[in-house]
Amino acid sequence: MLTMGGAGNFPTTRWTLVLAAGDREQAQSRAALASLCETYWYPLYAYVRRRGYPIDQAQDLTQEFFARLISGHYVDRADPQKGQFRTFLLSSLRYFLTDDWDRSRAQKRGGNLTRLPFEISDGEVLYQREPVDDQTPERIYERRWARTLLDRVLRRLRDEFVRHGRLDHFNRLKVYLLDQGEVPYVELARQFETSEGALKVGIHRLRKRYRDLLRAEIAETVNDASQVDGELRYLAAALAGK
Amino acid sequence: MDYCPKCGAELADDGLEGLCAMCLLAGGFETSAATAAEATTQADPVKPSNPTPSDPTKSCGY
Repeated sequence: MLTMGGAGNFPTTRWTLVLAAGDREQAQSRAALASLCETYWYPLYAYVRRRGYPIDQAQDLTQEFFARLISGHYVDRADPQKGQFRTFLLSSLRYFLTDDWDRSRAQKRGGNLTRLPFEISDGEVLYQREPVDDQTPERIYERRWARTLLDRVLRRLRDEFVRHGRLDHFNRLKVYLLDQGEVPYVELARQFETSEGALKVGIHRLRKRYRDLLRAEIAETVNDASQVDGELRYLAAALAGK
Repeated sequence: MDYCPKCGAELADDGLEGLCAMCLLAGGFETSAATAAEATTQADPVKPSNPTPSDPTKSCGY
């Protein structure tokens, strides 16, 4: 979704589109928001479950929250000064969860029938794989957010290899993203029937492509280029449990 | 529980191609690793021709 434009040199992203639209009805903004929710819905489901809600209620709450969000609720609460989609989503959910009266009224009306671009029931399958620990709901949310983001980036990188009929290359080279390959370059080059130098160049470009995809993915959820490194550091700290 | 051989972080067994999440995040910074690799590139006699950013698989001709 990255397109050039917006303030300064920062590209227009899905999140900046939402922020720019505010609470106004704009199809492009709503589509951007739905797309973001499709990517990052699970961390919120995990948050709701860790808050102690049983499965059925957690699914209903998550369904209702996203239905409201995508249909325009809460967007006026987004603060362009604070930035991240990650914080907006969690603060909006907290607001929703304390909004019992309004929610129960909606449920009496039959609930919101907005069709979501993801299947809430899949969340429980994922949640059952969460480690049994004493992580707070907020920590679960942030940790899942980081892993969701990384998973999306790796899938995009993998898909690029698939499109070029080189899935096997990706599977053999991915460990070199982190410089953890056990096969020495000279041997790997022999396996690929290329020179060691050309292989090093290829791995360098693989890492650069990964980095570009990761930074672009983060840029989709912040509203200023200066926030990308900060978000990387924040998510690293969240994963480290700091 | 397995641990990352590079940073020592615990490795979850739920995706990320089996790679370390901490190290993957670290790979998002504009680090000295890129500089080192670029130096390798410059010293390398086998320079690939006209690679495209959207196709990392074409990077070294294998």
